[in-house]
Amino acid sequence: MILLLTLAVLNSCSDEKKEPPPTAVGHESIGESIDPTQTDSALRNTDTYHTVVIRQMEFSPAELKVNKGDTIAWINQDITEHDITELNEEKWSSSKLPAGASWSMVVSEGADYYCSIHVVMKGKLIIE
Amino acid sequence: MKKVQNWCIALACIFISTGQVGAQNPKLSDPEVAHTAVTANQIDIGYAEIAKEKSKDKDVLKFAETMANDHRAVIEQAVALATKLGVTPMDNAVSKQLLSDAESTKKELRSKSGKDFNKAYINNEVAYHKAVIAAVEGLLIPETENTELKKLLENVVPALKTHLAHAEMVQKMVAGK
Repeated sequence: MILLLTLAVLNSCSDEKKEPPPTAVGHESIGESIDPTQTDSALRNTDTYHTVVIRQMEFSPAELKVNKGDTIAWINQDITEHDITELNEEKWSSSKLPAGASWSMVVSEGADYYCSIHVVMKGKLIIE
Repeated sequence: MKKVQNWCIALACIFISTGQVGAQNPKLSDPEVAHTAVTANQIDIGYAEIAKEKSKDKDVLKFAETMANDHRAVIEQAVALATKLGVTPMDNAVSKQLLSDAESTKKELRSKSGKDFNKAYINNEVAYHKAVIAAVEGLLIPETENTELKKLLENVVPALKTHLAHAEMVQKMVAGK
């Protein structure tokens, strides 16, 4: 990921897309707190905090089992920009995430989501 | 438009016909690989710009926007890497042939309008991405010696495959309109 080192000036989300509903799903920008070059084993994952890596046009893990109130962080380690958008009704969406940027939200319901830029990229949050 | 479908065959023929390498072991230098990769990305940006000028279909326009942005991102990374490595991308027979074929394709695209244009554009995108994937995997990556350049090309392949899947999806949408 040397290339990402040369590129990554982290810039967290702008507000050009839909905001998550304030009661159903909260979010916070954590773009400045995550090192986009860290390896999977170094990524923060606890019982209540889960990291999804976007790499080589895939969400990894693509399917994640979580509890209500858990925080999910997506980190873009890919070469292009991506976003994270609720699939069926676009209830919530991150802004466009450049390479190296990240975005997080607190989940209150299960969801299928996708990248609205690369519409074949899909992921799922399952409430346990 | 079908020229692109024979792109890989054309690549081999160019090497042989120009005498650059032997028929059984076509060879590109890393500066030539870099130039070829950048050229292939620039060509698809050119197609996207035509689509943005001529199409009113939202699915086609969205796809074209993604192609322009993603291929620009790849070029930026290739240029950054070339700068870091002190490599000057080198014009070569392959990139010249690509540009020549692209001019022909762009001329054909510009001659169409409406639904005919949408179909021609997205059909070309499907064929172009298939050809580029085959060329990157089958020729450019194996020919590259520098590990960082090889890694960049390997990282680009998933994006190209995602573009192809997206193009095929739009192709079905356009066919049904």
